[in-house]
Order: sequence, then structure tokens, then C-alpha cells
Amino acid sequence: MKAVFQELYEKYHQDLFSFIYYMVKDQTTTEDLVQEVYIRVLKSYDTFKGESSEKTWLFSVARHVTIDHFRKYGKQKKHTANQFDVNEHSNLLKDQSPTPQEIAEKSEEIQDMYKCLDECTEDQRMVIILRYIQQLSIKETADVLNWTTSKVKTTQHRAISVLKELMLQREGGHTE
Amino acid sequence: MSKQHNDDSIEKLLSEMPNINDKKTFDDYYEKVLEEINIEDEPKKKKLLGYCQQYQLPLHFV
Repeated sequence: MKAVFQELYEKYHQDLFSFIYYMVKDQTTTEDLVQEVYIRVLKSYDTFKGESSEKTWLFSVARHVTIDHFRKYGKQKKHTANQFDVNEHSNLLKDQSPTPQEIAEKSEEIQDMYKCLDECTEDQRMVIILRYIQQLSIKETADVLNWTTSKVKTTQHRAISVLKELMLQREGGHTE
Repeated sequence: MSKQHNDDSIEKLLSEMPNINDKKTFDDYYEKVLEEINIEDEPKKKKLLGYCQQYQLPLHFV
């Protein structure tokens, strides 16, 4: 088992950690969830059929673990893309959650974007992280999420619109 | 001066978001994962051991 684990760890650990971190934005929670992903993966590794790539399979397990976490702790955001209203989120500038060093070292725009991601729905955030931060294709993202490629495209488009509005609002806030 | 964002600039910014690094090592995870898997397997092993004893089966089934 150690050899399988080591291979998965070496190939995918940083991507896996980063994906979950961007979803939950907490170091300890991310470590716990990554550990849970490895447990689930190693317990079912013998049944992996190779229908998708190892990476999309791993991210698919990570997605389920993250969703289970949100369900368990009731932190899933209730608003949907259609109900989103930037005026309801004017307190975004007051966000006090700790920022990881990797983000803090980047430009103000990147730091703003990191905070704006909180205002996307879980689905939108997953698509954005998989597509832009993990650089997965539309098809790979659809495989991970078990969605159609059309749904990925629609969710991505809506997420970009939401982020654009939020970033404009934040930029306005900085200049005032 | 306020910057006018469009879809392209948002996508570019997103693609520049960094990976977040983990400070824990492989061994940290391996130890915990192994421990968890063994704990979860323990009731199964006990049940099998009980069957083996009940039906006088060799213990290598466990």
C-alpha cells in the first residue's frame, strides 16, 4: 500500500491540497480532508477501472469529501448564481479571514480575487479552481464533477461574471 | 485609478492564482492514513476471527 500511496502523493499531493484549501480556506481542515481523500482512495484503489484518468478520479473523490464536509458542518452557501446581488456583499471589504503566505506575497488584485472567490457558490468555486488554478480542461472538469461539458461552461461563465462585478466593486472601494 | 475588468482580465488573474503549499510531509500523512485504515478494518477482522473460531477454519482467512 505504501508504494501506491507514495506514487499518488508525489504526483498529485500539492494539486490536491491546493484544490481543497481554496474550497475550505483553512489549513487544519484541509489537512484533515486531504487525509480523508487518501483513506477513501486507498480503500477503493483496487476497484479503480481506469475509465477516467487517475487525476480526475482523485479530484472526484476530493470533491465528494469536500461536499460531505460542507454538509456535515452546514457551511454550504445557500445563495445561487441567479440570486446573486453584489449590493448584498458590500461587507466583502471587511473580510478578516487569514490569508495564506502564497497569496499575501502576490499583488493586491490576486489578494482581492482570493477573497472574491468566497462569494461564489460552491459549484462556481469548484469550476473556477479546477479550470484556472488546476488548469483542467472542460472535459476533465466535467469528469471530476460528473457534469456535462455544457454545465461546466455555463457555470464557468456565470462565475466569471460574478467575479468581474465583485472585482469592480472592490477596485472602486480601493480608490475611495 | 480604477481598472476596468473584463472576462479576459478576470480569467488571466485566475490563472495567476498560486498553488497553496502543504507543510506536512508524506510520512505525516502515511502514518495517520495507515492508522485510520487499520482502525476501520479492526471490527471486520474481529468478525472474521469469530467465524474462523466458530467453524474451525484456518486463521489465514483473517
